[in-house]
Amino acid sequence: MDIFDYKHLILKKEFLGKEFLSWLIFKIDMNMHKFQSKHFKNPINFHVSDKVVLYGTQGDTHTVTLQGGQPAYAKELKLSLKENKQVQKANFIISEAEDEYSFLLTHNLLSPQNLKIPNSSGDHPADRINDRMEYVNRICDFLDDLYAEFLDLRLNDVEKITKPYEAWLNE
Amino acid sequence: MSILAGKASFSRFITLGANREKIKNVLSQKLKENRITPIGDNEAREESYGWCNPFNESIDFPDCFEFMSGNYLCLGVRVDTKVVPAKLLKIKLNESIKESCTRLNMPKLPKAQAEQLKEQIKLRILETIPPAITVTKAVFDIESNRLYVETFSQKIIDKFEELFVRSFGIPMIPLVPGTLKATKANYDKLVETCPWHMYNINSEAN
Repeated sequence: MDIFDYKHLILKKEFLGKEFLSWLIFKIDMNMHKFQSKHFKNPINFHVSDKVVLYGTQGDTHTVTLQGGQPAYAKELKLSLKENKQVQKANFIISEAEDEYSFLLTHNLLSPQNLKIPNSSGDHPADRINDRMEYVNRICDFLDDLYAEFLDLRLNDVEKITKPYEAWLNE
Repeated sequence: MSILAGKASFSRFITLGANREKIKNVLSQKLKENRITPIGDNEAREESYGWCNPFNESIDFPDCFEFMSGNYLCLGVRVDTKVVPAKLLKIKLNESIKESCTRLNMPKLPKAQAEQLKEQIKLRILETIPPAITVTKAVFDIESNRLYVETFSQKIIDKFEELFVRSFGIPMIPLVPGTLKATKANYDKLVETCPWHMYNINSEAN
């Protein structure tokens, strides 16, 4: 990483988090929840869980909260996205075989919050910390890879995001 | 929320130039040098902070290597604060001013004298109240330079950063959308290529 004015980036580039979360919900639907990642031994299922909060831009200060059931399939989600609202936060679930991870992502941090990870099988406290941090790193690495994929498209071929995204919105 | 048990919520950082051997060599000394000096019940100090034992929140850590688990170093920052309740200060100050005016036979106490009185009362109250104690835990992955701090409070993060840099001499950069996978060239291009029509965000990016 370059060392430059990162404080400027933190304040000014928050919008990327909203773009990313909106793209992520689209991507999960496009992939039909199936993902492969080098950070997981097996294919994983990635779902939007029970809450999505969308937030207006350019003077539209209404917040739309879709809670309960499957908000990713609620017609209000696409309606809100079409109205230029963006995803501010959402709950997600990842499952890999017997293991399940659930977490909240917010646009300004992109760090999992309320992260629930599988129980450690270790008997010794040190083993439990190692296991725990392996799980935390795994989820963060997976999300960072998706963010890198998004940034790469966004930088080098933005139409690969916008065209399918718009088609998905109009489905 | 805790990074060490239960559901985890944390701010993420990347550290620049961490050296595992160097950290191991100075770990014990630096943690002890920068550990908290707790505020005693009868002390008038308003704030104190420093490292504490991340597992039992005390300041006893005879063997700091117990905090190392594989590549992970567990850290605890303890902040002791005493806050004088504003209403109590106001009531006590008014009583004292009234008493002084009667004793000195003055209609009003000069401003400087009132300020001095306020400071004395504040110190007296501070000596009578116990400190509020908060402990924030963190895990530093020395191998991959990743740091997880279980707070979103900028005040606590600032204190943690100050202690961390003072102890280990390693800068830490927050990992958020603006810095994840960041290079300056990347971000200049992101703004140039922003699909405004889709995201409608030009006012935020400029």
